[in-house]
Amino acid sequence: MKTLILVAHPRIEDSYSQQFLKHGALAEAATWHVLDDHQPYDIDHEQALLRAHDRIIFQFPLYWYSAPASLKAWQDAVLTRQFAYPSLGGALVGKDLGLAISLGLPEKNYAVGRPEQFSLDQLTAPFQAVANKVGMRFLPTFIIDRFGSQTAPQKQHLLTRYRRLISQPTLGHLANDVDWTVSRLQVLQSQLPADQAQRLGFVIEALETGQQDLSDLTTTLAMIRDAEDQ
Amino acid sequence: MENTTWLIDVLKELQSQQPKFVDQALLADTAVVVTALDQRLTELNGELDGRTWNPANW
Repeated sequence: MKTLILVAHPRIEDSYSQQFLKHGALAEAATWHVLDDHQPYDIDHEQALLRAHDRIIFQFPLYWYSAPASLKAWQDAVLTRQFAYPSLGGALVGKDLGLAISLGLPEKNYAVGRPEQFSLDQLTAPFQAVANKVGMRFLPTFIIDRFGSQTAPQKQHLLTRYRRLISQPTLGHLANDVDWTVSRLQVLQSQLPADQAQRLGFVIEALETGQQDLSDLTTTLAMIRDAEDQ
Repeated sequence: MENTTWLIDVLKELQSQQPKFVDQALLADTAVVVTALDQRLTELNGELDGRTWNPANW
C-alpha cells in the first residue's frame, strides 16, 4: 500500500509533533508532502500524486474547528470535478481517506455536553462528505492529543498507531493488528544481533500461534451459534 | 496465551536494548497487542466453555 501524507501546517518547522510523526512516515516509506511549501499548487503534479497512492492522509492542527487554509485551498484547486467525480474522472474511487489531527485542547473536550460542545466526528463532517462524494473509504480519525503533554510511553504508542494508520490495510480489528505487528517485527528481527533476534522470534511465534487460535476459536464459535439458532 | 507474562518481559528487555525510538515504540506496542490477544482468547475460550456446557443441549 502506498500512502500520501498531505500536511497542512503554516509553521511546520516549529512543530515538534509534525517532526515526530515524520519519523513514523519515513519508517513506513510514505510520501510526506507539506502543502504550505507547494503554493500555488501545480494541479497536474498534485493530481498525479493522488493517482499514485492508495491511501491519502490529511494531516493538520485543528484551527477554529477545521483545517488550516492551505488544505482548503488545495482541495478547491486540485479536486476538480473532471478529476474526482466518480461519473467523470473517478480518480479517487476505492482509495482511502484519513485525517490525522493534532489538538491543543484535550480530546475529551470534544463531545456533546463537554466544553467544545461538538464531537470531532461532527466537526470533520465536510471531509467525510468529500470522501463520500468521490468514492473514497473514510478511515477512523487519528487524533494527536496535546502532543507536548504526552509521556514517553504515550508517544511510543502514538508513533506505532500512526504507522498503522499509514500502512495497515484494515484498522480497528485485533486480527489485523496482529498481522501488521508480526510483519513489522519480522523486519526488525532481520536487523538484530542473533541473540536478540532469537528472543524476538519467540514473540513472533507466540503471536502467530495466538492468531491461529483466534481464527480457530472464532470459526468454532460461529458453528456453535449457527447450530443453536436452528 | 499461557506465557503472556514472560513474553511481556522479553519485549521489555528487547525494548531497552534498541537504540532507535521507532523500534522501542514498536516493541512497546507489541506488548499491548500481546495483552489484547491474550484477553480475547480468554474471552472466546470462556464463551466456548459456556456454550459447550449448555444444559439445554443435554
